[in-house]
Amino acid sequence: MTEANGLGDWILLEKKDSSLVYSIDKKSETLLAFQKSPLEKKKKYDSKISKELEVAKKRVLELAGIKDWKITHRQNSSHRMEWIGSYTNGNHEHIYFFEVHYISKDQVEVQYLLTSRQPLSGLLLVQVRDQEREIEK
Amino acid sequence: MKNFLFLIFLNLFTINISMANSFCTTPNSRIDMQNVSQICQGILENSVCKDVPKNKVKKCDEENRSLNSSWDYIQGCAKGALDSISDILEFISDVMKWVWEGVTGQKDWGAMTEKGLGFGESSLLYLKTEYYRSYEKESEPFRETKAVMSMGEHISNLIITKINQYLSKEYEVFDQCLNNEAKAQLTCKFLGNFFLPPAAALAFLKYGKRAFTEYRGLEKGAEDVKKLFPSKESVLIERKPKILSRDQLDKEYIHFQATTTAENTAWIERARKSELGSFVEVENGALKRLNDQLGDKNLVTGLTNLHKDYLFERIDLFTKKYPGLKISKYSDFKSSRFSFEPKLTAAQWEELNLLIKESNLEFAKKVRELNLHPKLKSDKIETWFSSGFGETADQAGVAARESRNVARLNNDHPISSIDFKMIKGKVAEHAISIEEKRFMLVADFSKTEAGRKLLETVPGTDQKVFSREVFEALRKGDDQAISILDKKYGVKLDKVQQESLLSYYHGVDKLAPGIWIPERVVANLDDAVAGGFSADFAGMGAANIEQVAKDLATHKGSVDDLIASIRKGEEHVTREFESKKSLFNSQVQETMEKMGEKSIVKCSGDDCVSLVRTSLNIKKKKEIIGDLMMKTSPSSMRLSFIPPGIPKALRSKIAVAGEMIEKDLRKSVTNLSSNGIPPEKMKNVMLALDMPKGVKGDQVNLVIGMKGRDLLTQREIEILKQSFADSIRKLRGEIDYGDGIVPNYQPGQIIIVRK
Repeated sequence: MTEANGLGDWILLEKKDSSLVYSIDKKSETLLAFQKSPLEKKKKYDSKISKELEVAKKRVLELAGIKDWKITHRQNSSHRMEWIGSYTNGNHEHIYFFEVHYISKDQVEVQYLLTSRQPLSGLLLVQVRDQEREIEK
Repeated sequence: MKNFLFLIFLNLFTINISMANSFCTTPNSRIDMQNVSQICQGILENSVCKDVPKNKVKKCDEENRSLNSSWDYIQGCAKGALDSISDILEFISDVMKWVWEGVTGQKDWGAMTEKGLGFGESSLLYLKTEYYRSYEKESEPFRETKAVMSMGEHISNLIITKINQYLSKEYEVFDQCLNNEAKAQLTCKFLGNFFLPPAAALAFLKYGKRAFTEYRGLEKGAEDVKKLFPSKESVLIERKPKILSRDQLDKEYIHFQATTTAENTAWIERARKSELGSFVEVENGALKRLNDQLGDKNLVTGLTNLHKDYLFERIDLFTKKYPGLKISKYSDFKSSRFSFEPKLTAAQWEELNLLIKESNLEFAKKVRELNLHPKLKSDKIETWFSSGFGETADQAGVAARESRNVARLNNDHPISSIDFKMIKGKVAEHAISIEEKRFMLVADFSKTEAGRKLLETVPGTDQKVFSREVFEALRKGDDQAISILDKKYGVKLDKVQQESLLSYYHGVDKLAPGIWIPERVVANLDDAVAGGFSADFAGMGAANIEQVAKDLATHKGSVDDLIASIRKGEEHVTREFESKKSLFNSQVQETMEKMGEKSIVKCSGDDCVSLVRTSLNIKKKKEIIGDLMMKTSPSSMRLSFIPPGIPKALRSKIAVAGEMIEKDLRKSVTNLSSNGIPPEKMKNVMLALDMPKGVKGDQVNLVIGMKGRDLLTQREIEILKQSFADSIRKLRGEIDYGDGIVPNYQPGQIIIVRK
């Protein structure tokens, strides 16, 4: 897998309204989808996502052929939530994900999702986090 | 959304197969088939089924697997209707949201702010990454649909179940009487009527029939579906959608296919057989002129297909009236062809003649009502389509062209179909007269150096014919042709010679064979979200006519033999262009790969488009132009690049505007005068247009590709620059993108690529 060196190396696959999809490598092994939505008023996260909501999310994802979705690592605060986990997609491939939600300084809610057939290396996660502000622009 | 419909059709198909398989292979199910058959027979004979036409009634001994027979229909219904993939993903996401509401009790994603804003909403991000991952793995055709398949399966199952429940409940005949083909046809209609817009689809999924009160369109759709349930009367109900606007025309008819690939292939097989039969050809003789005049290929395609819909409907009624007749059907971007077996009687020919005429009149009336383009107001629309009958497909083709010529000579007065039998003697005389003209013209052209350059000897003979350049000039129209021969090639013809040459050309053209293509590929830039480029291969029409001229010059035998040998010549030219398109495809892929880019290339009759995944900068465009120039004849294609960010409806139109600029620019600079560039040099020049996103005062860049580093002098480049500005100016007023968008381009940079 080729790891990204910066935004310039990523391939933009889709740009629509406030959402973007990038391929981090040339074979779409690792993909990043990004979306931002305006906040009506200042908000903060309740860092305890209830088990029921996780079950609900798992169920709706199954409608899209995504099975065994599970979070293996969480890092939540009032302005930022990060989850690492895995699932099996409709083509029966094991996929690793990194889902991030945060409230930016500009008072928009940003969510992005990195998915890959390969286990996500620490370096890649650092690089993706580094590019957050770039993508937001 | 249509893509999703296709997915549902695929699912419908596979579900039936799997149901049939499980039914037949379960060891514990000991079904007394004879008993089932008797019950089934009893149902078919009851009052519910009595009005269903025989061809739609199920057979009690048929296996569910016989849905195979409707596969072509399902494929035909969905093919070409590939629409925005983001609509599908959003639709799936909407369904997911609905399920989320059911599970969590939350009104929508946003209502859970305090517990984790967007936690559910991010499901759409999963859809998107999965879609692109899957897309990478899949191949054409239906790549997008295959890519979405893995994630849409569950939802399409939900929808099909819901529809079948509804149809079975509302209409007894659906389950009890109809065979699988008729069921599939109804489901197709049902989906088409109900599942646009997606919100209505979702409402139907959630509330079933109750959704009708919220979505008036659904109620209307239900009424339409009611009409579609077969009865003796409803078989004859007009099935055409009501076209009231340009948008509807685009939506319904740009991708419309009157026949399936299998039907076209079957017709071609029949046409290539030597046994005589009854053949009919109907062609849009005005296609090229309309494309040139209107500069809007989608409009011309839509209208040609609308006419097909009128025509095929009447032909269907005709064949229903004579159930013993076996019909083969063919359709491509320009022509509709039919063959009948056994041979038609004189009365049947007459009937066909009348129905073709009625289709033309009905079509013309409709186009006038629609008022789609100011230039169509005074056009004689009823004469666009000409038709001919014959005992072979080529005879019907020759007769159709004769019909077009006769109409032209009669000041575009509509005329009936022409039967080849009536013109056979005339064709023989015609061939002799054409050849006499060729002898005289060749003698005249041989007298000058400039003229001799435009002649070539047919290999293996001592016969001289005109080169392709002459036929290319002649295809531009009578006046322009004479001017091109003079200014571009230095051949000055007197009045008599001019008339003789034009008459020779029209004579040869009349014998030109039709092109038979099994599969119609729509090559447009509608899906070029990230931009792309079109390549129009110049000269295919001219190459065909040149080949006919060669066949005439070397032919010895009867008229029937001559027409057969022209067909062989056509096969030769088709191979030549297929190889050009294939070369273009492979070269584009190679260059893209070299640059670490990807593109999808689609080709139709004489043009190709390349859809890129990431927008191309000028460096990459230059690379593409350079590589294509080295692998092909630079003047043989017109390249037009479009950037990302153009609305879908304008992408192809803007690319065509680029092609028009190239056409005009090449024409105006290629001549032997001191203000021109000699044709020999221009053969090695590729002119590519780099179109802008905006249309109001935005700049168009011209890329001049030279095969030969110092091919053009500085002065010649200056000539191109000046003429480029003129060509852009001329385009203003020539093109209207619709909806009040009239481009006002400005000449931009001149970029040179030397190889």
